[in-house]
Amino acid sequence: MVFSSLHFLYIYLPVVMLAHLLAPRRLRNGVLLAASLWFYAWGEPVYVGLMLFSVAWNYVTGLQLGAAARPSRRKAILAGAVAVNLAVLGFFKYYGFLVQTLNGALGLRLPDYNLPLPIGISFYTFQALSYIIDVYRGTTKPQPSLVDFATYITMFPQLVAGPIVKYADIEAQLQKRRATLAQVGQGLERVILGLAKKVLLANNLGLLADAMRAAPRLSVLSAWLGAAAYALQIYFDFSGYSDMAIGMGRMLGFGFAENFDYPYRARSVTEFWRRWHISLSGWFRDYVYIPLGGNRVGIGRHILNLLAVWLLTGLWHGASWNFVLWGLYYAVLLIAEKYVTGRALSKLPDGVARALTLVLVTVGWVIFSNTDFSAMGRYLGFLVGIGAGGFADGAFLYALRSNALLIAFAALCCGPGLRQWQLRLTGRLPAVALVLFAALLAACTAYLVHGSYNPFLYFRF
Amino acid sequence: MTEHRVSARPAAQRRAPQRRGPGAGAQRRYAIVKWALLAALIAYAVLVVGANSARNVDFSVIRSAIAAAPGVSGLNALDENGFQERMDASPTPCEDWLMFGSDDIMDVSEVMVAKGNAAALDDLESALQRRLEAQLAVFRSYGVNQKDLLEGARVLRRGDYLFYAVGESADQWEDAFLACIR
Repeated sequence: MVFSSLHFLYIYLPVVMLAHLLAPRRLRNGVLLAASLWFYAWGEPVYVGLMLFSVAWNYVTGLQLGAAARPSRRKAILAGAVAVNLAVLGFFKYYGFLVQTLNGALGLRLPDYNLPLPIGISFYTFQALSYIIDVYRGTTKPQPSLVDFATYITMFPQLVAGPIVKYADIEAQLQKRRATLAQVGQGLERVILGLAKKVLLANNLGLLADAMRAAPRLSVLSAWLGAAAYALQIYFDFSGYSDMAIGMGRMLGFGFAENFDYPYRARSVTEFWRRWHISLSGWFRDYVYIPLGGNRVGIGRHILNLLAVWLLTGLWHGASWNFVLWGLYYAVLLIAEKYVTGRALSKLPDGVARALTLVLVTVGWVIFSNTDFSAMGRYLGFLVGIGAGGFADGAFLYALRSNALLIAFAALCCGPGLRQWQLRLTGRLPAVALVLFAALLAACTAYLVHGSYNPFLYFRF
Repeated sequence: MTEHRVSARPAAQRRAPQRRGPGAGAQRRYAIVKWALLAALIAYAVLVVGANSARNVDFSVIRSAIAAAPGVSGLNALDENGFQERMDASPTPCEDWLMFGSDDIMDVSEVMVAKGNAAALDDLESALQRRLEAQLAVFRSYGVNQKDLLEGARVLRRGDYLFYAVGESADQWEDAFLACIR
C-alpha cells in the first residue's frame, strides 16, 4: 500500500486515525502496531515474518544488553546482534547482487534465488541498529514492553521510506503522547502538502524524465532537461513521502525530525548532504563515521573514512554497481571540497555556488538512475555533447514549452518562499487556507482517479 | 582550585548501566530465546527461498504447457517484432521467451514467460509494468471488463523465470506455468 493511493488515503488512514484517537491511552500502541502490520501485510504478506523476527531479535537484545554488566559480554552481545541484523539485510537485499557479481567475475554458477526485496528492510534494520547501539552505549534504556518496541520498529508512517527515526527521539512519545485537534490539523496539512508534491509534481516530472530517457538520442539541452526533471522528480517524490510521514506522525502524536531542508539551495555538495535525507546522513554520521574517527584523524585516514561511509551510503540505496559508483562519486566530491576546492567555493557568489552544486548533484542523479552502465555512459555523453543530436533541437523546445509551467512551479517549490507564504496564510486567514488545502486534496484525488503513472522511487530501498 | 576526579575505568564501562540485573539466569534465558529465534529465521529463509525458486526445465516444456492451456489457442504466438511492439522492450537479453496475444485491439488477453538472468528479468518486469499502466490508461475510462482484467494481471518471478498474464483464464495459465517449474 503506498501513501499516494486512494485506498490508503480514503479507507486505511481515516480508519486507523479514528481507531487510534478513540482507543484508551494504554491501548494506543497496540492499535498502532496492529494497523502497521496490516499496512505492511497489504503489500508484503510473506515478509511480515521477517519484520517480526527483527522486532523480536532486537527487543531481546536490548533486554540482554540491559542485564549484562561486563563490558566484554556487552560487546559480544552487540557484535552478535549487529552481525545478525546485517546478515538478514545482506541476504534479503544483497545476495542476488553478490552472486551475480561473483558468477560474472569468477565464472561460477552459484544459484541466484531472485528473492523480491522486502519493502522497507533498510529503514527498519537501521532503526533497530540505532536502538541496540544506543542501549549498548548506555544513552538509551532498554524498552521493557514488546508492544511498545514493536510499535517503534513497525510504525507505518515511516516504515517503508523513512525518515529513519532514532528510538531515543520518540522514546518518551511511545510512553505518553497527546494528539490535540490542532496537531491533527497541522499533520493533515502536511500530509496534503506531501501528497501534492508527489502526485502533482513528482509524477508529472517523472513523465518528462522518462520520455527523455527513453529517447535513443538527445540533444545536449534535452539531456539536461531530462536530468533536471529527474532531479526534481526524486526530490518531490521522496520529500513528499517524508512530508506525509511527518504529517501522519504528528496526527498520531509523534514528532519526527525533518528529513529535507531545501537541498537544492545548497551552496556546496557538503551542504547538500546536510539538507538531503537528513535522517540517513545523521545515521551514518553517528554510527559509522564518528566511530571510525570522523575528521579527528590524519588526512589519509579521514579520506578512507569518507570513502567507507559513502561506499556504504551508495550500497544502502540499492544492490547495484551504479549505486556504488554514485556513493564514490559523492565521496570524491566531498573529499575535494574538504581538501581542495572548499575555500574557493566559499568565495563564490551564492548564485554561482548553488548553480555549480546543482550541476554536480544532477550529474549524480544520472548515475543513480541508470543501473545499466552503457545507458548511463550514453546519457552522461549526451550531457557534454558526446553522441548527442546537436546542442538543441525541436524535441527540446517542444518539451520545454509543454512543461515550462510545471518546471517553473517545481523550481519555486524548491525554495522556502512558498511554504513560508502558506504558513503565514494559515496563521492569518485560516478559512482561506482550509479552502486551499481542500482544493489541493481534490486536485490530487482527481489525478489519482484518472492517472495511472504513480511510481514511488524510494519504495524499494 | 577545584579538584577534578577522573575515573580510571574505560569510557564504555563507565557508561554501561550499573543495574543489578536478573543475573546469569536471565542471560541464559535470553540466549536460549535468541538461538530459537535464529533457528526460526533459518527455517523461514529456507521456506522463502523454496517458494521463490524454480526447477530449471527445458523451455519447450513451458511453451507446450502454455500453448495447451485453455484459451491460448485463440491467441497468436508473437515473434520478436510483435513482442517489442507490445512491450516496448527487446526480448533478446533473455535466454528464451514466449508471448501470446490477441490481434483484436479491444482484447487485452496476453501471456508471456521469459527466462533469463536477474538484470534481464528486471528490465522486462519494468517494461511490463509500463505496458500494464499504458493499457490501464487506455481502458480505464470505457472498458470496464478490460480494466478489471488488467487490474487482475498476474506477474510472477520464480527463479530465472518471469511470468505475466492478463485474461479470463490467467489463473489457469499461471497454474500451467507453475506446474512446469515446480
